[in-house]
Amino acid sequence: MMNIELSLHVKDYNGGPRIKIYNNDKTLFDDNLQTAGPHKVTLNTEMTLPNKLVIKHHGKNMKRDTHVDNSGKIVDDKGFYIQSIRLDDVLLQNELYHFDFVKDDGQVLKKNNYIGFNGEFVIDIDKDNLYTWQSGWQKMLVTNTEIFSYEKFRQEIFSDE
Amino acid sequence: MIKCDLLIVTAPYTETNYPLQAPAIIKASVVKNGYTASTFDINNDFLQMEDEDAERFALLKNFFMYGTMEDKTKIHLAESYVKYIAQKVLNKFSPKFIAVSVFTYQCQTFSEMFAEAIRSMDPNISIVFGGQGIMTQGINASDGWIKTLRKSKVIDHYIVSEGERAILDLLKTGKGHGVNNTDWKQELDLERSPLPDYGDYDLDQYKGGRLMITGSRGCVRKCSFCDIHKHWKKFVYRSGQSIANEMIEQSQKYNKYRFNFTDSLINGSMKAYRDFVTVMAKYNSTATNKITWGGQFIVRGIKSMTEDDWQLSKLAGADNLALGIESGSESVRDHMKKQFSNQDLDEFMEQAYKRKIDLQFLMIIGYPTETQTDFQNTIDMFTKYTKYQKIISSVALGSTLGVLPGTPLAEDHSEDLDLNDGENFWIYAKNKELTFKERIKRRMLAGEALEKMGYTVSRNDSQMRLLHFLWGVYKNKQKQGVAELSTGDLEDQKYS
Repeated sequence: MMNIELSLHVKDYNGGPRIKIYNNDKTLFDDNLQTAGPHKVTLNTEMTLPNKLVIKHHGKNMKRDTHVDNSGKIVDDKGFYIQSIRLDDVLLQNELYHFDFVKDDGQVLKKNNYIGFNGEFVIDIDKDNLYTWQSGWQKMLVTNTEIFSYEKFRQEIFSDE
Repeated sequence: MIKCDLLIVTAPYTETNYPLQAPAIIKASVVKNGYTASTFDINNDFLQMEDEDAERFALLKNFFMYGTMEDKTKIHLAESYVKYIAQKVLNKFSPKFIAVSVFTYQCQTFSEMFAEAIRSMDPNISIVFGGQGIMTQGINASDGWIKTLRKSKVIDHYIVSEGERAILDLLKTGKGHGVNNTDWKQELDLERSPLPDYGDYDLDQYKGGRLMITGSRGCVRKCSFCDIHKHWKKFVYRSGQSIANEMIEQSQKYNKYRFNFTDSLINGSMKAYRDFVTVMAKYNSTATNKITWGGQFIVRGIKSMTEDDWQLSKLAGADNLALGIESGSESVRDHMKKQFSNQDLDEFMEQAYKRKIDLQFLMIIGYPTETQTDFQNTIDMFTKYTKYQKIISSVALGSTLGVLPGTPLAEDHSEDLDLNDGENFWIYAKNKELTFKERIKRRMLAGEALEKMGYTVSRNDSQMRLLHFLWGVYKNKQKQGVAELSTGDLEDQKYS
């Protein structure tokens, strides 16, 4: 069994987002989160690896479900932030910015954890071992994508906090 | 088309300028026993791509090392490359068995894809995997990956640990110690192996210009942070005469005059070491092309390694010895069970300097018992040794101590040492001030101080990047999934 815990932060305009979570085998969650603020979605399921965990946002009307004021500024929305995902004891946080969000029209959004469009946020666990997958993923990120400033890092390490 | 019983190939990615030794050893071993064998260094073939197409090389290298890439739409490039290589292999060779040398777990992705490609092209070829890389995550590792591959028929067999004898058992009977099981037996007689056969290698392609040589396996020490003794239960070694014979014979056969020992330590047995340097010193005294060699070395004081030993070492070709100094503090080294004093080290340095033998220092910053005074002792040691800087070619400061499973630190001190969700995140109850943050701080201070003194700190940038990343993981209370950025470097692999 795999324990999956999603920490979401919901924007509840016009009834809040409809979210479906599924993997290659079955639907794990399908609900409408109607209240604004933090939500924890906890799932306990058989999930053989490799597999894909897909978080789907659907049913949003892109014209009506975003509240825009007279100046064109978005003041409220139907959508949600994915703040973290825990798969057993593997916590994905910074990594979330590197998974694809595929909009319904096929456009792929990167470096994004706010799910404001209809579409699918895909976590592709392409290894049969969760820890091997996480390790490879982290190594790839630290080697290739991390922005690193020694001076900033030094400041943080030498600060009192 | 070359027909053979066995084709031994390497698998990317291993970062090396040297020819990988395993295929040459296995080939020699099976040929001696009446089989036909060839070798193909796919890793080296892959490395050639760097000069031709750096962007593609970097993409594939990362994919092979980490098993994933951010832009999944480009995975087909890796798949195409693996198919191309598999076809290239089958166009040139017609083997009954293909043995893939999986040097580290960072060779797993390529190996698996390669096996699948070979299987689809010619299902009659038996595929065998071997090498340390078939076990995931180090010496105390899991055999889950390799078992799964066999169960799913991607491969037919696997060989755990030393392959010289096991591959023969496999060819003869299809079974044996270490063949499809972890019940391998350490070879106690290293003399029985024939010399590595590099006949199929184009040795001029390797920029490092060195051949690897193995004089011993295992270690005479049981350092608290090291897990090598878990794998090699006994320290076994060849006679000095035998090692010297191999160097001389191989240098004459392949016109290569520089050697690197794969040993955990060259001078584990002083008897064998003395015999070796005596023979080599005599040979070099008349040789047109003098032989040089390097590798990992134990620090010994002048009583244990005498002036005569040093003189012979120099004449024998000693060059670039890597020393596990670890700390400038005697009390820290005592806890590590390094078994050499500051005086021993001073005597060692004086002799090496006198003979102009280059040294690399391997250090550990942030050992569990390291106090602020101990850390200062390390800095003071480097200050004192600036007079020897000409022979200290580099200093590896590491990325603070990671406590590996299976080490005495993890096993014997588990009551006081909490791993805290990561090899690098440990908390030592008897030295609570030494937090992960403090260890990073000391590592930074050491790097800055040494560079200011004029030392070359090797891989400083990549280690800082790793620490930066680990710090982020630590702050977010995530589980550590990365212990090191790369075990793909041949040199680093020796030190793991």
